[in-house]
Amino acid sequence: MSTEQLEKRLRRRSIHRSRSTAVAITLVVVALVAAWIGTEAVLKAIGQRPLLADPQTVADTALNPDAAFTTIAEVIAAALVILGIILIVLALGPGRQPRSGIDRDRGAVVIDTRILASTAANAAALAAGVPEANTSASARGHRTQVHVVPLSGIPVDTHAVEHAVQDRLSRLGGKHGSSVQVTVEQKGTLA
Amino acid sequence: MTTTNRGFNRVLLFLIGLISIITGVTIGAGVLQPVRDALQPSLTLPEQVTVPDQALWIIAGVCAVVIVLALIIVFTRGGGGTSVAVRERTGEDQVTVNVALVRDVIDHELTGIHDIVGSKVDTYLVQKTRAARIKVHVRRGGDAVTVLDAVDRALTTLDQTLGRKIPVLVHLTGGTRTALARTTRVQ
Repeated sequence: MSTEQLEKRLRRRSIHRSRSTAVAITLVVVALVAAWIGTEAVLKAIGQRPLLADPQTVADTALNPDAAFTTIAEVIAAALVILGIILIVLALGPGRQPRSGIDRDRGAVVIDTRILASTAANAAALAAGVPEANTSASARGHRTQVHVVPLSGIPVDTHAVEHAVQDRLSRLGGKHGSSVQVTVEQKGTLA
Repeated sequence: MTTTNRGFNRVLLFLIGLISIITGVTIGAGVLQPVRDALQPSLTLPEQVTVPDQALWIIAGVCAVVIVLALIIVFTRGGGGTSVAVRERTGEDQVTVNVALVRDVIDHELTGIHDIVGSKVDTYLVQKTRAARIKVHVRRGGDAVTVLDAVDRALTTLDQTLGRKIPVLVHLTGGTRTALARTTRVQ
């Protein structure tokens, strides 16, 4: 496999999560349940007292359920269905992490969305001439929203800020910085 | 970066989810009297079932197999990490470059860049090729563009040092180390 193909693969696998944690947790739960059922079966076979209920009692009660058993069974059933739905959503969902890939000559690059937002806020603060703490940004996909709180008495040029953010993000390549929205707070703060 | 088979993870989650839903629906519906009455014509439930002694051992055996398989799968997730960044054989001779060298080169090149709090380098064996993952922790309010330029320079130095281009994945991230670091106050 060539370096480019390998780096593409690395980038793709870095953006999507592996679901290994979900698999591990699920299988540990499955193993615990299996351990309990196995223990009950062995305890019954060697004639010891059961931990909670031996298989014979469970079979008998399931065939002629009483009120208490029905409640327990419904709770277990609801838990199983909810768990099953969560697992299927995890299995079929895209599993994207909040990161985006960047095209670069050397190496595969992924950037956390938080860092993209922080870059936008950084550029906005520089262009608006306000402290870093007065700007905040959020990024989703290729859309970036920047919020600027001006210093009292010093107007902020929205277009200049927008242009600066676009310019900064476009240097990351791709579609980054193609959609930037700048909002300026009406009330300013003291420097 | 790891060698985990992700398709297998998905299939496994899907199957366990499906089994879980089917079991849940069966248990939930099965204990309800109306459902039992509705099924009466087509399905007759026996009044009494005796669990034979052999069945107990079979149940125990199946459970043991399930536990062993589950634990094997859990412990084979991940993997592929290696401490050797480059290995080259010529005849009898062999040259290996440890990940520590890559780490030192990257660290050395990235110190002094204000927007970078720290970096972490790991190497993995991916499809029989050795690849490096460089995690760069960016300061809060940091600028990704300057950081990437610095990383590019570091990679150039790394390529010259190793004499070859190894595949790399650069990951700009925040994380706990950056949360504790001071923010940029003066540009």
